[in-house]
Amino acid sequence: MDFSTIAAVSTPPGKGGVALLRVSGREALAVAEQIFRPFSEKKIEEYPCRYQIYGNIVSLQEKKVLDDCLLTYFRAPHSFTGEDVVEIACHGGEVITGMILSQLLLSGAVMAKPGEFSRRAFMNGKLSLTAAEGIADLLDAKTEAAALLSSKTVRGKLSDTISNLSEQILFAASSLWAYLDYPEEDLQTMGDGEMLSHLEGIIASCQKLLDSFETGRAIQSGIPAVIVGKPNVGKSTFFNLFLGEEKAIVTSVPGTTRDVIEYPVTAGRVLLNLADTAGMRGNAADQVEEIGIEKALSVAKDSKLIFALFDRSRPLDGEDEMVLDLLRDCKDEKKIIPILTKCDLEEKLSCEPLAFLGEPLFLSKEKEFDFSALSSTVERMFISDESALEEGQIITNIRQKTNLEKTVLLLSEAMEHIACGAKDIASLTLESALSALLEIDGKSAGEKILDQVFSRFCIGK
Amino acid sequence: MEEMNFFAGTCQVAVIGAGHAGLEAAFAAARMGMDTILFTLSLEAVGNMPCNPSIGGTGKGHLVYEIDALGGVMGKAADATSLQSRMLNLGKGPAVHSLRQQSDRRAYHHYMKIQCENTPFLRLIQAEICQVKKREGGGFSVVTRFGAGYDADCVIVSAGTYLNSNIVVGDVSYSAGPDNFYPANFLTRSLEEMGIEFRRFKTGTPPRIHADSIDYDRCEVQFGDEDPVAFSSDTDKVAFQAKKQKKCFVVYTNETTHEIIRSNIHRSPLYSGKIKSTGPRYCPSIEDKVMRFPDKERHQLFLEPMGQDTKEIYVQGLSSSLPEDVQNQVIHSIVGLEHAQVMRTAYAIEYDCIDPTQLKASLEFKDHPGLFGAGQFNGTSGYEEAACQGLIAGINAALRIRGEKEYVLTRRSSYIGTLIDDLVTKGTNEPYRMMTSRCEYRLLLRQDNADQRLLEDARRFGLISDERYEIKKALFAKIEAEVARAEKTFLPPSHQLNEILASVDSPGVTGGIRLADLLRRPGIGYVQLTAVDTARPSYEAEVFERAEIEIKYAGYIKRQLAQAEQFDQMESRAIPEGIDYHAIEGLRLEARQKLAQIRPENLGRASRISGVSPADITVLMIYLNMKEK
Repeated sequence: MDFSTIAAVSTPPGKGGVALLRVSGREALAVAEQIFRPFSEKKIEEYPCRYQIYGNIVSLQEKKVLDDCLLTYFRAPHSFTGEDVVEIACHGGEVITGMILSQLLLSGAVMAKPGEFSRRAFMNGKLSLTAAEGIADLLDAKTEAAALLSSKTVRGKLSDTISNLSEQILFAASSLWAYLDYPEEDLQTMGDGEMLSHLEGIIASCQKLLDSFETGRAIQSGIPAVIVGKPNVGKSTFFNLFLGEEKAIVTSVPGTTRDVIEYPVTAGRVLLNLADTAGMRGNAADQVEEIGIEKALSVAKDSKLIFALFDRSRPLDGEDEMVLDLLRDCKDEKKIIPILTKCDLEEKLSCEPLAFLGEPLFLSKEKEFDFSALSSTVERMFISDESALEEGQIITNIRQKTNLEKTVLLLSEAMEHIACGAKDIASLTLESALSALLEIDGKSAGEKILDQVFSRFCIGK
Repeated sequence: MEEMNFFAGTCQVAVIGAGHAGLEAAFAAARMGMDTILFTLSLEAVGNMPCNPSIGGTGKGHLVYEIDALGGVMGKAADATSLQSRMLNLGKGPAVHSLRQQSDRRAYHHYMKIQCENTPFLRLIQAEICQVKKREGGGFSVVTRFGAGYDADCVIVSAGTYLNSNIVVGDVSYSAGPDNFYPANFLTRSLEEMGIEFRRFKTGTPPRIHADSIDYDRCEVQFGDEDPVAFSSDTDKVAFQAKKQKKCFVVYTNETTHEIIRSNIHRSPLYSGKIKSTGPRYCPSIEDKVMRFPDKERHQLFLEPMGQDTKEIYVQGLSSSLPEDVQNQVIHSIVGLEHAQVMRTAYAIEYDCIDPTQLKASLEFKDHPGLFGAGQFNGTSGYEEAACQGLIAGINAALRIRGEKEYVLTRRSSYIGTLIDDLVTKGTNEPYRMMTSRCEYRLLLRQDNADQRLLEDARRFGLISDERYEIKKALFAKIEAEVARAEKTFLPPSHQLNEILASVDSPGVTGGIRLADLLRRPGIGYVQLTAVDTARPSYEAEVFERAEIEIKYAGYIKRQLAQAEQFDQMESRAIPEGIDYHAIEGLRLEARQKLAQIRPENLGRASRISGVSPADITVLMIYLNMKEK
């Protein structure tokens, strides 16, 4: 672990009106003072905290004025990281920010690692764990929807949901505690039936949050998707529709696409990690092609969404049947969108054998493809709960998911113990469930339950 | 303050205060061979019960069992003076079973006084200790009100609620200890001069009424258990069970009661601001209950006998500091107590106690080697909480004098360990009461296995007799053998067995089934299986009771043991004394301050300090690793 004073340019590289440099750590002020000269000739410390001070950045050695800027000093713990923080707003431009940054580094700061400001904020209790993760996601966001969702997480929407759920477990746990520790008082603690249905309700809410994982993933990290179809059916053409530029080589020669290429693309708000695969063909022309097909099949196995392409201008053939076999095998665990290609040519395909795949979409080379229809189909498939998305009650990573699953497991265990009268074990299991849930936000149960007991129950023994 | 004007003698251990903490401390030290003096303000106050006339209860029962397992006296005294015995929480799981006994408080006091008088190496002296002074070259000197000075190697302060104590009733307030005993108005200042920090707590006690003035027809009766259980392993079970038990009664407050309280609340010193000290949340006064829970239609009150012969009755739940006239109205508004004759008025009492984070887990002051604190002086509440601390302080004073390693009970070993760990690492903002829910290892720390958990320690300190040790070892061997038998005995399927199973809605069996697996089923125990478990050895009932718990809970006990192992790892990482937390980069300011103040002995304890985050512990761990290299 590193406790040095860190500095970095916080705005993205490139030209802009303003750029922001950030310094954090116990030496932040000392570092800044070496290169900052306020016009007022007052010292930074003489200003109130978080006051924007106008002045010059002066190089350490030659004492050359590099830029005029606004400096803000946030004294610990009242800063983003919880440490002493100095922010310097200078003119935007890679050269000038680079020069100022190197002056900061010369004055004793070290270069911040990616995410280090947020990590320090978390360590100093300034950010909840989910909020910290939200910031990481926000920075990584590849789509607007992802950015919106992360920003909700940063603002604590998920945290709120978690603390609401933990309040409910706390309610049950404190009732059980009071019941066990104050057996002779006529406390209005929950009866077994009431307790069981209360816990059932919490499990349902946790389950709902767990279900949001799919949506969260769809938006945040992407759904693995694959295009399948026989050679020359138009897979690369379809693929390029997503890319908007020709990244895959599109030719009419079957089997040109020999390896798997994967790109993050969007369909509406859903992020897809779309793989282009080798054409599906009964007799591999050569060894290389065979590897391509095998790979395609394995990619299809790992994907969650399959775009199945069929040539509408030809009757169904043996290679199409191979594709259909694959789809029949996996139609229960994967989402499939059938696409009919070459719709500008005469229709010769009988659609009957494809009926089990659902409504197809139509693609022709010349005609504009209705991308919005595709987007809404994909969104319907992966954004299961629009209101949860709206509220930001979405989990987006495995850590959160694992803890929620553990919570559900422990809650169900607690229910069993309550039902068979082992209240002592039940109370411990409820505590563990609470800890597992609170861990999502890096908190612990501690004295919380006890405080609840005393605020809820009139205990006088 | 009185100065010493004559030298009165020496001892190895001086115990200040002969309440529940001081008694156990003095007995333990004396029985470990230390020349011990037990000072008390009044010989009439030895082992006094100024509040509820009972020993045990949830969590507290566990403490008493552990005290008994370590050779303490409380359990024996409670058994000997028991008026009624009840096992609480039956049917909620063995880990929360808690024994409580109503006690004859005068008999209890008498029992303890006689014990003191007959314990070798122990001198019981009536004297107020006004000063504790460090002597040059080590040790202390304690000075009485009359100027008598005694030298002692170790001093245990167990002054209870007597320090600068004030009794408050309405707008009347005067300097007095509990039960109007004389207060100790000098000792606080003397200890403050040593640098010890004090705070002020408050507690209270309900009124006592005359038994003949109660309308019993309008009260609910509460009987003792049919098969009463004793606290102490040394108690003669047959004689104990033969004792006739007294009844308790239950009455309730009503809307009239509440109205009287509400309209007089301005006369309560708690609400007028006259009392500013912190009282316990779990033991609120009746005015607190009414004001804080306005929706509650009635509050339950217990009528408990104060003794075998006396007609004094304790009104559990009616603790108050309202003026006497209001108290009388309150009592007379209660159905069954319309004509109750009050013998003692309820009162609140304020007193000085210390912030227990000044202590080590051995209960010795961090800054004053040889000086110990125990009981309510340390910020706890309750006789049992006090007694167990006294016992630990007494043992540690003796160990210190012998030059041996201090005795520290961990959270996973006992309720006592949990209580002390809570006190010295987290501190407390209110008089601390033990509860089962405070123990995260409560499946391991049951009343029934307290002897098993602490037997070897008790033996090592010489606090239990060889005879008792042998009896216990034999008992544990039988339990172990029985658990093993249950795990390897298969019962054949039979009509009889399936009938038994059907009677508790348990599925029938078609093949042979392991006895242990049957015992793990809900509703099935040794009692149910007597007819089919034909090869059962003829042990005493206790063997089967305890084997059954071990078998039923085996899976969960195993899980807790695994957690306990993780706990042990953290506890075994010692933090060297004298570490400068302010020099550790990366620790948050709050964590630095807390760690520097509390000076935890190991990483586990550090992690439980409020205000120290897991990230701080990581930083500390890395720092310790680097330092070791």
